[in-house]
Amino acid sequence: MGGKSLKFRDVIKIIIFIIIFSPYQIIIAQTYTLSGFVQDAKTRESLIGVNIYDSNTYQGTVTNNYGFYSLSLNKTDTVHLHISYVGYEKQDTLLVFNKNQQINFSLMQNNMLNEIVIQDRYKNIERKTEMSTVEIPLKQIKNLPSLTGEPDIMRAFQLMPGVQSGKEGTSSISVRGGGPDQNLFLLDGVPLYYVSHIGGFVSVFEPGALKSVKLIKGGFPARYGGRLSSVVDIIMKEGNKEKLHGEYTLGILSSKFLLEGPVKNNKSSFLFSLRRCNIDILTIPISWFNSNGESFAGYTFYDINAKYNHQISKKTKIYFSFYTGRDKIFVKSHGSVSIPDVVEYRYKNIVSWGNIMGTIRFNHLYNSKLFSNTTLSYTKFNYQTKLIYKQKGTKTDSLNERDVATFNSGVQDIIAKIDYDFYPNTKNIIKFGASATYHIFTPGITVFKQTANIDTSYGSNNINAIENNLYFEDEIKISKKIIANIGLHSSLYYIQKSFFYTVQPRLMFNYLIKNNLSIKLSYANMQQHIHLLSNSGAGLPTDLWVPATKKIKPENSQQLAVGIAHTLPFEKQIELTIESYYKTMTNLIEFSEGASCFSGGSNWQEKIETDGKGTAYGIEFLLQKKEGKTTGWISYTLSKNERVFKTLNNGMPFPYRYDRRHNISIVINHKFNKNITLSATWIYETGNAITLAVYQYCLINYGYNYALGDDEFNNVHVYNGRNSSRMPAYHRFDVGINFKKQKKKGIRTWNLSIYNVYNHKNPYFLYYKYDNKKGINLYGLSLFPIIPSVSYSFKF
Amino acid sequence: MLIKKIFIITFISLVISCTNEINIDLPDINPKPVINCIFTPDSLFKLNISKTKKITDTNIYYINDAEVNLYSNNKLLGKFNNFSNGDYVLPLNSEENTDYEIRVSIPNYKTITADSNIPAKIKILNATCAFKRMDEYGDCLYEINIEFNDPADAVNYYELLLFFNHYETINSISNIDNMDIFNFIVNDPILISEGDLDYEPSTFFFSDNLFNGKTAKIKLGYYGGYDPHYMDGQLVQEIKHLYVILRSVSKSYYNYRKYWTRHSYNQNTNEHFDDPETLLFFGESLPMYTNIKNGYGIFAGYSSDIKKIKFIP
Repeated sequence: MGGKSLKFRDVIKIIIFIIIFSPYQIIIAQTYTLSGFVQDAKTRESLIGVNIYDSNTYQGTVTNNYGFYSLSLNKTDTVHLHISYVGYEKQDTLLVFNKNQQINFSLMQNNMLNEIVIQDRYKNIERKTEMSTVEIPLKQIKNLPSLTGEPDIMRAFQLMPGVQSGKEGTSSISVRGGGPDQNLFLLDGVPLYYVSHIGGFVSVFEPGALKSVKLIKGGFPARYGGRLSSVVDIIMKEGNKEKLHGEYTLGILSSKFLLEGPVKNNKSSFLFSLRRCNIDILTIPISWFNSNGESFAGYTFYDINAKYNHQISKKTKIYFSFYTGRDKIFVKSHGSVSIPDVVEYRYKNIVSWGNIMGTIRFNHLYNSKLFSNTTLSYTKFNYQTKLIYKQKGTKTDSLNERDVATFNSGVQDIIAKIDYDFYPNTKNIIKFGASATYHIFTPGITVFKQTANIDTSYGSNNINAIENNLYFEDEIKISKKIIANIGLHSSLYYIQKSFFYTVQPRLMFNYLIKNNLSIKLSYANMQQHIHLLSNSGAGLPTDLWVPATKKIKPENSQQLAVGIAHTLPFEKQIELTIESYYKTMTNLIEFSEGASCFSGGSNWQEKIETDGKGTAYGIEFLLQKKEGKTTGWISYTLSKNERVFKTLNNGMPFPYRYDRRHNISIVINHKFNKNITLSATWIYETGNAITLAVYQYCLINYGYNYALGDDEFNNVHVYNGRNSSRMPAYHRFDVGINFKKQKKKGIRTWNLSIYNVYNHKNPYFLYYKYDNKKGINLYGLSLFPIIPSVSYSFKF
Repeated sequence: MLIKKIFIITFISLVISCTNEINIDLPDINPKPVINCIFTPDSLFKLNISKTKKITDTNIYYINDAEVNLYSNNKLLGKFNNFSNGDYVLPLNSEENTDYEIRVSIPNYKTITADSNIPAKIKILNATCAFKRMDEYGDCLYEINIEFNDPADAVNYYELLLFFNHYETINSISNIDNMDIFNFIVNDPILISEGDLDYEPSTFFFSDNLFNGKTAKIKLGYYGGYDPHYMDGQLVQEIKHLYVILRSVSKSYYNYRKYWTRHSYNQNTNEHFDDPETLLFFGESLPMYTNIKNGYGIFAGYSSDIKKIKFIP
């Protein structure tokens, strides 16, 4: 808490000063403002990140997350506006510009589904302030080959530089040396805590229901906070305002259904999507048959996305967003017996986990320069296991619940926030806002109930915390060649009578060296008030979210990144970005050596090592071709990622479990014609760092046997150091092909995918095993050999 | 704990898996000597010396050419005699309240030293086992109470072992059942505060942190079967006896037991741990404790008291 150069009241003063004096700038600059919304011409879905610029002055802006733009220009006779967006046809408009005007634009989708239109110079990467940001169009994600044919945005991000995948097959990500808990997943601005299904093999984000996805690895704008390493900002579709549309997909892993359409006078629209896993459809009958009808078992998951928006007035709009998703593993059995007092029993065991999220947002346009969004939201992640045993004593009795055992862990947030976008003049775009979050942590409570006489609960009680955030950022055009984004994010966190307060500066500079070359620099200080206790590192739902406390301080990071952005001078646009980063992290936690969270969250504070430090640095290359029949990218990351704890590894630095020295990805999409698209990806990564026993010795076990007169020898493992060994290198080649065809009532698509084409056995973990013939050898367990899959979808 | 395991067992069964041999170049190591010696009052000093070996090596390499001397307060007490298989014996009975040091010279190795002691025996004041109730499945719940006085002048360490013999026909301590931690209901703060119960200890070990200089009162629940049944053609009644063994242990011994319990629980790459749940859920690997300078192993002592109690169903 101490030692901060800026105090909370200083931040307030700075923000108030800027807000008060900004209008003054407007008066002296004598500008007019052009503002409005940009939407899809067919669906009237608002478009995010559309570029609008005047080709006479090269002044421009982009639409915000609600499709709103505001462009202030100096008084002039005419402006030549260019409006462009990835996947849409560009619009050029000449306007007489002698007063403030509100104009909405509608863009037509480019028919070439996979092809991206020629980029405007204004929106080229070298002219964007932001750096360390990855955006992959959802259409491209849907075409990528995937495990069991299920498109997955997290897997697509894994193919980008600076993003390491977790364990084999999982969709968890480690960004620039961070852990899986250091990624902030925002769905319509609301955090989701656990974003994987099937232990991480599929993410919870159903691409069909989404409008845009963005991953920020560094250079975080001040509006984001709460995690150290990345922000994954995902916006759901609003729903078609013109016509009722739908899509259904039948796949091996899951089936999906989506419906969207207008509700009232073209002022409202809705979207509803449901995805359900099909695994239980197979496992239930098989297990039923194998147990002679006495039991069945299965696994399934579902995702429901729903959104409704309504235009209350020209200046006010309201959005309701809802998401829930849950995984469920279940075993149910029943039977008749003839033991005393029991004639029939039923046994049920359910393990389930998932998120539920709901949010209401009000957009309000105060004037052409000030836009606000007010949000009230709730989000919850919960993991639960439940065992229920019922029995009845006579045939006429009803079944009585005899034993119940449940385990619960999770986290809930109630969030209120307000965000403002302010466009005071031609040179500044200001964003500011505040939020308050009430956290409820459940680190793990087990409850046993036995009808007869036992009713026990143990584990850690709920822990509540309050977090308040305030931010301010200003995107400033300092000169024709220099653009900056300067901001502050402050955070006040209260838990168990302790306060933690920080001010986190955020800086980004972009210097345009040439029209197609710029150099970028960013600095970001981030703080995180929650920790994830994980033994496996696999990103499993059994990992426990726990709060920062007086004893376990919030994690903090500082990241400095420098890079170049260059559009190569070819006819077809090819972009090259090279970025280098250096990140330090403090107050990290790790499980104590030998400790485990297996028994839940009881005494979790006693099982961890605190005050850890982390260092991650590396260089990333990305060469990306965005247009033409063949598109794709090549990415390479060279990085190092270490941790130091006084009490671990004799106080010496050790590689973090996600430390991978080299990471290469090649992604190719080729469009043969209007109907056939081929995608292929190849990934190579240095193996994860693991702790592996390298030698051993015999130790006498003087436990109970010794009391009985026996000596017993046991093998003691000797490790070379924490995470000092490496898994074998990971590599995999996937390929997928889409066949589309226009039918009478819509478009049908067949997708064929082959995961791990050359059947490389990438181990999930390693272990030693004794074999009579071979002796002791090291073995690896691989989860995914070559897996072909097929899916069918129909869009109407 | 068992509840959470269900998740991973089911999870792994859902995915396709296969195993294959992995070739990893393990670093060449210079073997280090390993000393194993636990000594108790009124017994001869017996010690074993072997070497560390590669993890993939199934042999045991004993050292039979070492010179081993025992000291107390820098006074030589005797030289150990070598037998085969790395065993060394000193024909001297160890005593309580005495500090011992061994110095081991092995050709081509640095001199190995270790020291420890045997704390004074602590008598069990009282040990009882009372039947509480029988549940609908026929399992009986017993309450076990153990009391002893802890000396106030020093930090003391203990190990508690509880054994049961189940059958009237078997009345020898050498054939009693193993102590199974899963049969115990442990709510005693002395044992809980040690934080070892998650790691499935085979015995209970604890310090006098919560009862220094006072009478320690340890209470445990125990679930055991009670039904009479046939064994070897004879109808036997489970007349259970409980053997309570209280060891007063040296700090080295306490560390050895504590570390071994966690180390073995987290041997993630052990040949016995080739099932996925172990690897996904168990803790980080823990280096094993040793008090052997320039080597590995353990040199530690304890004294013990034993009480036999008849169960009262």
